[in-house]
Amino acid sequence: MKDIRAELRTREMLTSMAVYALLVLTIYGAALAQVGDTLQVIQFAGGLLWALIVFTSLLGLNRSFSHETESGCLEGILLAPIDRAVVFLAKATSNLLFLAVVEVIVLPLFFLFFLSGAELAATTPMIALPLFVGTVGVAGVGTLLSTMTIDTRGRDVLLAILFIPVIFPLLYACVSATTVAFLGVEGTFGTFWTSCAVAAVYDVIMIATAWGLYEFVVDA
Amino acid sequence: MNSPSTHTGARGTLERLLPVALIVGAVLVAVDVVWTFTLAPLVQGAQLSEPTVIGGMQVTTKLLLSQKIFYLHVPVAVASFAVMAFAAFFAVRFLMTKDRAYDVRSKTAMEVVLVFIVATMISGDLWTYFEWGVWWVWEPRLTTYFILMLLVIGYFILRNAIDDPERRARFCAVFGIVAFIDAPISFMITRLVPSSIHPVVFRTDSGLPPMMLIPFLLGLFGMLLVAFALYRIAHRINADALEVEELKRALEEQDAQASRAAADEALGRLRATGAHMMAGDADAAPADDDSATPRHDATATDVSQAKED
Repeated sequence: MKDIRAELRTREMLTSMAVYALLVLTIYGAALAQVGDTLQVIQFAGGLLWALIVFTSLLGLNRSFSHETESGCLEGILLAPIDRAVVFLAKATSNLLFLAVVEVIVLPLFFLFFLSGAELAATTPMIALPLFVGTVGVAGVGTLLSTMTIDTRGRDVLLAILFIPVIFPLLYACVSATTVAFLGVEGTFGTFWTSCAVAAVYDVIMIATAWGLYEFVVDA
Repeated sequence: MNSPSTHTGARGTLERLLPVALIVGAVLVAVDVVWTFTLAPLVQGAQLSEPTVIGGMQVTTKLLLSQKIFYLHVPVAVASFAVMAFAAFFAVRFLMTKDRAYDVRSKTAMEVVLVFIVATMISGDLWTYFEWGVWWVWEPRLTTYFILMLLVIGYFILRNAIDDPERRARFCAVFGIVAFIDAPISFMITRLVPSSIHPVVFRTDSGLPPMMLIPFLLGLFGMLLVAFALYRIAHRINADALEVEELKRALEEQDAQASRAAADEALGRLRATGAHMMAGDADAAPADDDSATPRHDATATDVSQAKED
């Protein structure tokens, strides 16, 4: 898709997202400066990680359509004789890729800054599953909502106002699954799988809804 | 347009029934409240540290007066879910028909939802404070309902942020449907998450004694009627507002057309004068002052250009 090619040329979005994520990490550093004990940090590391992802993706989603309006591209895409749903899938996929790349950059930094002294549970790699499911949902819902808010007054704030409540159930499930994986206590993995299942169901419902409704958002 | 003539009959009856619905609803709710405080038995709460005498009876558990909130809280909450379902339904209808009347209905229903959600939040918050001892817990039902409130508020912020009425209607319908997805989640969550403190009330085997069940049901139907009447009243206002807005636009269009016609006419007259002057220019120009001559020339060239066009 042309988004990726454009991004490879400018690197504008990735840079700003990565730097923003780094700044959020810095703020965490100040917020947690008095906690000290890394063992405690592990207990809410899942929440911190997801707060980071949500804020960074908000920034990215805002930007992903601003190119389109600046260069009048969206009209061009819509003129092409393809289904609106395909446009949605393409946009959502490119958003998903951006988010994934940013997560790949940010995740090691997160571990480096906050969990380097901690004894990680053996199950820590399992956070990949909620991360994946969550990112898919964020990209899907975010694509729909950012298309809606792109031409409105105060779009940055509006996207946050609409996006955060809609994404909340997903966020909740993902945080719970991630925290279980971080703690790695035997016998709590029922929660892990339930949360992942809830998040996946949410993804399916939301993406199906967004897919079906996208036509009405970009129409005319 | 939704062929208003065919609906007039049904709508007329509805409008006539409206005050009746409102009064019956209000009476039912009032009966519910009175019954709640007079006839419905108190609910046994936590064990007291020592037996106390309340109202001439020795009791060993705390009698929960705050449980009375239940008789209002649940009907209001159920009404908010019901109206929200209508809001989403009208949003779907709008997307199918593109009839702005449905947009107005959806918006109206959302307004009623907001009122009921706020009422639920207030009564529920009193409950959490007096029963659970805290003002707020991040408990599944409370959280999802809180999110529902944020979504409805977001809906109105979205409405205010878009100027073009056609696009506003479309986007709001889409967001209304997306927001509604949370409503069944919030409704079902006390059943899905067994660890939730919030009790599952709405079920067939509620086990409530008749003295408690009857006022509850009265309150429930009363509140639904009140919700319906509120919706209809608000809808009447909003539909009138839409009509006024459309009339205003039509008037403005007419005005614009009239002024455009006037402008066209004036232009025509100007051209005629210009042509006339150009004809007269040949002998008039030499006699004129030096300062006036360029202006005449300009008019003449303008007119000749206009003719070429």
